[in-house]
Amino acid sequence: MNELIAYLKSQGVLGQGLFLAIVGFVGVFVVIAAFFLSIVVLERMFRARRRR
Amino acid sequence: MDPMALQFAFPTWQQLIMYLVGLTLIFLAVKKEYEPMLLLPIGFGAILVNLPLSVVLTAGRSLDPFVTRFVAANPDAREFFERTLHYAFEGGQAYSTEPGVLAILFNAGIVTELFPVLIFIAIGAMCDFTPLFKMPQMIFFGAAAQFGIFATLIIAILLGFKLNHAVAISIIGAADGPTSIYVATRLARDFLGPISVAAYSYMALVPLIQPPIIRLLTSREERRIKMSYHEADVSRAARVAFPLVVTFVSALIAPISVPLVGFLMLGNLIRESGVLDRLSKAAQNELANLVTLLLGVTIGSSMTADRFIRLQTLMILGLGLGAFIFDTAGGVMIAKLYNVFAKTKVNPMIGASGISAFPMSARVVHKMAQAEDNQTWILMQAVSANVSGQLGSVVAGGVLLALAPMVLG
Repeated sequence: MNELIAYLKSQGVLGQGLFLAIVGFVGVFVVIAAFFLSIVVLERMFRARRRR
Repeated sequence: MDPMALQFAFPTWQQLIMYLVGLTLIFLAVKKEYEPMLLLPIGFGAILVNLPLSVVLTAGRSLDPFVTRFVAANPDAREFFERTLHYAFEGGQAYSTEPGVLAILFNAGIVTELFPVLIFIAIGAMCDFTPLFKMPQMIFFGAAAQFGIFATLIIAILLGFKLNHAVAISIIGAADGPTSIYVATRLARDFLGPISVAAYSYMALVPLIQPPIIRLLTSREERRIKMSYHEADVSRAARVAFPLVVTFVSALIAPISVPLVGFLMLGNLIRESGVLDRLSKAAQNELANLVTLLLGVTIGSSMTADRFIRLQTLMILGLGLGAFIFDTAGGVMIAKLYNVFAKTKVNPMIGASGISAFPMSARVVHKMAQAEDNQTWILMQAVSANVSGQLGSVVAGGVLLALAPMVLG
């Protein structure tokens, strides 16, 4: 991690910005995907319980 | 005697411009009804803070001979006394200042991030995530429409903004006032005024900003795509479990987003629990109204003429508009990309309603679909994407706050 931070700091503001933009946008999708899975699991779990 | 007590002063030309800015915001709030709950107090706060002597910021001051002598001997120390200890310097004399009412509110509610977090409880209590359970895949449009944040970040850097300032400006693209305020307070307090004004103004202008971009990027056939919707009951247990699970997931993936997501979900849990109706109503009404009032007038107090009248303010307003345009374009384009792979096509306009401006964006998109073909009903799908935008914007703020320290040091 320290090496990554040192590398990013050597890339200049535009390089750092590109890192933030790309990793940030992907990161939002990752968190949202985790929410999606939570919704699907919750919905199925409670639907199955109601059927029983 | 307090040198301010019997002073008479005329406003400067910069302050006169700020009165016009304040009056414009009040005009937009009263006449055009653009986010009146926020723009009216922001406008009035901007006027209050720019009145001669700014008594709402500095209630009183007293001469400090020791600091006067110290700064005369060490001129470099002046900035520290001004910025950190709120000293004022006039004619070579140093005055210790007593904070006025808006400075007290600013320090208590904005610097501590208390007001935005309290607003999140209110927003959470207003949010109904049930449509997401019916169409969970719509949640991805809440992520796609955050594209404007990241595109604006790069443009702001290319325009010469420092990285922390660029991140704070880009968050206007979250189309979410409290998130913008929260991130700007942490990364660019000097730009808090213009960032907040841009975020709230453009949210109100969604019906004007989004349609031309959507029309530009979609064909008539695409805008007429019909989507099926199956009404299904969502159990109370699932609705109660949802805010808890989301809070845990956020804490695991992006712990820094917990103040944002956690309080949003607390509000939602109060709503969905079904046993806290009075608390839920209080959060949606009294809490929301009171904190919005205090938040607005306090944001206005950050709009002093010396901070607001500069080229960067105009650039921030332009970048904010760009962020909303890129949000819309990102949402639509990712919906079109989804259609390339999906068996059942979605109306690509749904992607544009993945921004956080709720429920305005969903209404705009549905109205556009109806204008193309009155048999095209996409309101529920648009609402699902729009609700996801509320989550997406908060997550985007949290992710940026988590990543920024890695490059800012």
